[in-house]
Amino acid sequence: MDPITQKFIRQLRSITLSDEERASLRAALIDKMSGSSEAQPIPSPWTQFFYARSVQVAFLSFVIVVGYGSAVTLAAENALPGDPLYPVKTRITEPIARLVTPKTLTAQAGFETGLLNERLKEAEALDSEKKLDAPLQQTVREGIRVQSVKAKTVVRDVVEEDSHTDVPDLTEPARGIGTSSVETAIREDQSTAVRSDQEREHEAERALKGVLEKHKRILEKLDLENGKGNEKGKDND
Amino acid sequence: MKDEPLEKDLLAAYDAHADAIFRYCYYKTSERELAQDLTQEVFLKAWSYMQSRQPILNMRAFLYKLSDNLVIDWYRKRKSQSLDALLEQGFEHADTSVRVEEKAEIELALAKLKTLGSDDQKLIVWRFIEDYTPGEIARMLGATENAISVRIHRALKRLRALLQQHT
Repeated sequence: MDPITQKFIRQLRSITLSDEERASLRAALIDKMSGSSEAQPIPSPWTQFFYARSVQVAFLSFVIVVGYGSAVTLAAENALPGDPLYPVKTRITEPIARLVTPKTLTAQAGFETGLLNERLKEAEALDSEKKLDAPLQQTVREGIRVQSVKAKTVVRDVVEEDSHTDVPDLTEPARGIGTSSVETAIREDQSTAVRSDQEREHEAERALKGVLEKHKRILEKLDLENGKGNEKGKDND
Repeated sequence: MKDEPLEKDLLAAYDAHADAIFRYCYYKTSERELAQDLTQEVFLKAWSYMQSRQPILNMRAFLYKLSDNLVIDWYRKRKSQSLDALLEQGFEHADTSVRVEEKAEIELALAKLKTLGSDDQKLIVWRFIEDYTPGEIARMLGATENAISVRIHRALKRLRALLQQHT
C-alpha cells in the first residue's frame, strides 16, 4: 500500500475512545445491566385489575351464569310438558321472543300462531311417546287453550284492522270521471289493489286455520273444539 | 436475579469491540458525543438480546449490524440535516487529548472517506481499519470471498486516486 493511503488509514484508525470515555461507557453499561437485572417488571393496571380476587370471582360467576343460562335455554328448546326445563321454555324463552317480535299486528299474529303450532306439536310428541296421561293431558290442554285464545285474538285484530283501512269505494265511478280508456285502466289498477288488500286480510286467518287443520287429530283427542279455545261443551267466547 | 456469565460475556465483547463500534458510529455520524451515545446503545441492545437467550454466532458482526440499524434510525430522525451539511459545518472533538493538528488531519481524512461511495467506504473501513478478512466481509454481505476481494481492490484503487487528487 502506498504511503499516502497508509497515512490515511492510520489517521482513521486513530479515532478511538479515550481511556476516560471507555471507562465511563463501561461503568454506565454495568450500571444498566445490574439495574435491568434487579428491576422488577411493573405490572400494568389492567393486570392488577384482573388479578384482584374479587374481580376474578365476579368474572368467573358471570361466565358460569351466562354459560349455564345459554346451555339451559338451548336444552329447553326441545323440552316437552312435564320436563324439568319446560318452564324455562314457556316462561323465559318464549316471553323474550314475544318481546322482540315486531309490534305490528301481522308479525304478532304470525308469532302467536307459530306458538300455537308449537303447543300442538308438543302434544303430538307426548301422545306418540304414550306419555299423555290424565294429569299431563290437563296441562297440555290448558296450554293449547291459552295459546289458542291469544292467537285467535291477534288474528281477529289483524282482520279488523285491515277491514277498517280507508279504502276508497272504487266499485262505482267517481264523480266527474268518465269512461275513457285511461279512466278504465285506473279503475282496474285500483280494483287489483283492493283485491290484494283483501287477500292480505285473510292471510293471518288462513295460517291459523292451517295450523288447526294440521293438528286436527290431537285437538280431537284432547276434546278441544278445533282450537277455538274451548273444550267441547264449554262456551267461553 | 443477576446473570453473571452473560454480564461477563457482554463486558468481554465491550472490551474487545468498543473502539471499533465507536469508530464506525463516528464515521457514520461525524459527531463524537453522538457516536459515544450510539456505542452505548449498541451494547445495551446487545444485552437485551443476550437476555432473551438467543444465540449470537458472531459477536462483532452482530454489533456492527446493531450499529447500522441505530445509525439508520438516527438519520431518519435527522432527515433535515444531511451528512454533507454537517461536514461543511465542521464538527467538534470532545476529546481534548487529541492535538489540534491531528484533529484537523482526522477531519480531513473523514471528509475524504465520505467522498467515496457508500459501499467503498464500508469495504475500506472493514478491511483496512477494522481488519476484517475478505472471507468475513463476504459472509456479512452475503457474497463470495472472491467477489469481495475484487470489490476491495477496486475501492482501494478509487481511494488512492482520490487521495492523489488532494495532495
